[in-house]
Formats: sequence, C-alpha cells, structure tokens
Amino acid sequence: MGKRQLVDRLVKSMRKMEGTSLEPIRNGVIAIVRSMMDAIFRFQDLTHREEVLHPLSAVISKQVGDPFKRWNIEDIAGFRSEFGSMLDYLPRNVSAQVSNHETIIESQSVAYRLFTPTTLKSKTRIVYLHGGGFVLETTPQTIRNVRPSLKRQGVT
Amino acid sequence: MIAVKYPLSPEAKFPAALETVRMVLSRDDRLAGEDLLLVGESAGGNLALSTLQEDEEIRRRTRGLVMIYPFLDLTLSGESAEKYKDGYLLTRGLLDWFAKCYLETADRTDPKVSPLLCSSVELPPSLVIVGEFDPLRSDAVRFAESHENSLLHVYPGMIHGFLQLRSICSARDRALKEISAFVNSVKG
Repeated sequence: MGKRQLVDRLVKSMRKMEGTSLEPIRNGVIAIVRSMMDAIFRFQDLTHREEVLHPLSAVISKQVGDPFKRWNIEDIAGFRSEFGSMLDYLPRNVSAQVSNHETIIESQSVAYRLFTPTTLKSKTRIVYLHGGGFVLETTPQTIRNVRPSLKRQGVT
Repeated sequence: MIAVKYPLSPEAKFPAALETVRMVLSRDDRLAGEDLLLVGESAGGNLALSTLQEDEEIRRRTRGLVMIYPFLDLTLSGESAEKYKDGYLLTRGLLDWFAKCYLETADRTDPKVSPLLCSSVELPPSLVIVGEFDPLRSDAVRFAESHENSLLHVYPGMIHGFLQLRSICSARDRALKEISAFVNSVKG
C-alpha cells in the first residue's frame, strides 16, 4: 500500500469515528497533533521564516503533489466528487438548521441556502460565494466549517 | 446568511456565474434593496469583487467585502503565481486550467474576468485574507495596495484553502475570528 492510500485510509477511519465512543479520543489526538504542528512552526519561525511552511501545509502539499497527477481533471464529475471527498474528511460535530431555496429570475432557476439569524439583530444580509476555481462546488464543506463560528454569533 | 449556488464551469461559461450573482443580489425577494455584506472565497472572491465593480446599485447597498485568498487576476501576472507555481497544493497549471474552463473566448484582461485590472472604483471597507504560500497571494496584496480602506492579513506558513482545515489548524480559527470581528464592525 502506498503512502497516499495509507493516508486516505487513515482519514476515512477518522471520519467513521464520528458519533461513536471513539470520537472524543480522535478529537484529542487531533488537538495534540495540532499543538505539535504549531509548536514546530513557531520554533522554525525563529530561524528562517521565508522558507518555512506550517507542517500541515507541507503535509497537504506533499500529499496532493501535482493536481494533474492526483486527479483526472478532464473527468469533471469525477474531479468534483474526489475533491469534495478530500474536503469532507474533516470532523463535523456541530449540526444546525439549513433551508434550501430556489428563485426564478428571468425564467432561470437559481438555488441558494439560507441561514436565518436567531439572536442577531442586524438587517445586513451576508452573501457567501464559494470557491473552487469556478469549476468545483465547495459550499457544503465551507458551511460545515464556518458553522461553529456562525453559531457563536447567533446564526443557525 | 445566504450561500448562492452559481452555475459551474466548464458547463456554464463566463459571464453566467457573474450574471447569476448579480441577478440574485438585485432581484431576489430576500435580497433586493437590502444592505449586503459580500464574502467570497477564491473564485467566489472574484465574483464578489466583479459584482461590486460592475453594479453601482449593489455597490451602494454593500457595507463590507471579505475576500479569502481571492482569484482576482486570471492573466496570472502576479509574482506569487510564478514563485509558488507548484508544490503548494494549488498550482499555476491548475489555475490556468480553471481559467480555461471558465472562459470560452472571453479576454482574460477584461475587468469583469480579472477584477484586479479594473480602474479604481470606490469600494466599501474590505478584509482580505491569504496564505503566505499561495500562488494567489499577489492578487490579494495588489488589491489591498490599491484600495485604502482595505485590510490585508497574510497568514504565515499557510497555503491556499487553509480555511477549510477545521479543527486541525489554529491559523484557520484565527482567520475566522478576524472575519467575525470585521463582519460585526461593518454590518450595522
């Protein structure tokens, strides 16, 4: 088994721990690894800042390598699926209500997800436009990622 | 908060995504006439800035702009696009491929395609976040340099997409706190 398959298997195993008694242990391991990476980065920072990636950045960059070799990007559907799968391995321990809507403008259908404030009293509408190079759709992953912060601000 | 599902390339070519965003912000019942705060990540940053620069009515209603490692120059003329062209997850080759998917015959120097190349338009206060080792870093830096009311934060050691690294990256948490503080300061 190659290193890439090993890492893929590892992150899939981590994902399977969600909702089980192993989840707190997994989260603890993640917290320890995160602290270690930050410490390594700070230590390196004392010497040669311009050339030092955060260890996590270095691991991910090495793991992906050349995107054209990692993914068959000419297979658009497959590329989107694999990219989404890569982003999807992260823990998802916060749930919240999301409503999906569709609006028809000039006979064109446009879909969006709406997060309604529960405690915020602002009239300003926050509009989020996802990334993905105009090709990939990263909204589900990003929303999952930012949801804890939104929840702290009273947005569910 | 509203997350717009704009049409993707290569199925939908420029300016389909941009026009969709403009239509939703201008004509959807929940958004038309309301104060806005635009948040765009990578290509979404491109769409957010292009929308503001192209549409005076939307610009007038927008109280703030957050761009997270935005893809603003599809000509890839920035210094970082060459300096970090490979080895940092997002490569120059992939950026070029994204641009080809997005554009059919459109000129990459069109300001609607590469909003960084737009002549100065007065924009609302903006926050720009980017990683140190991102081929798009120059896009963020050049935008901030040309807009006085923008705040730029380059996160050391980080690569493109680091805001996706939930739970395993403290820089991501710091960036989200910074965004939250900015949003609270401008939303009214």
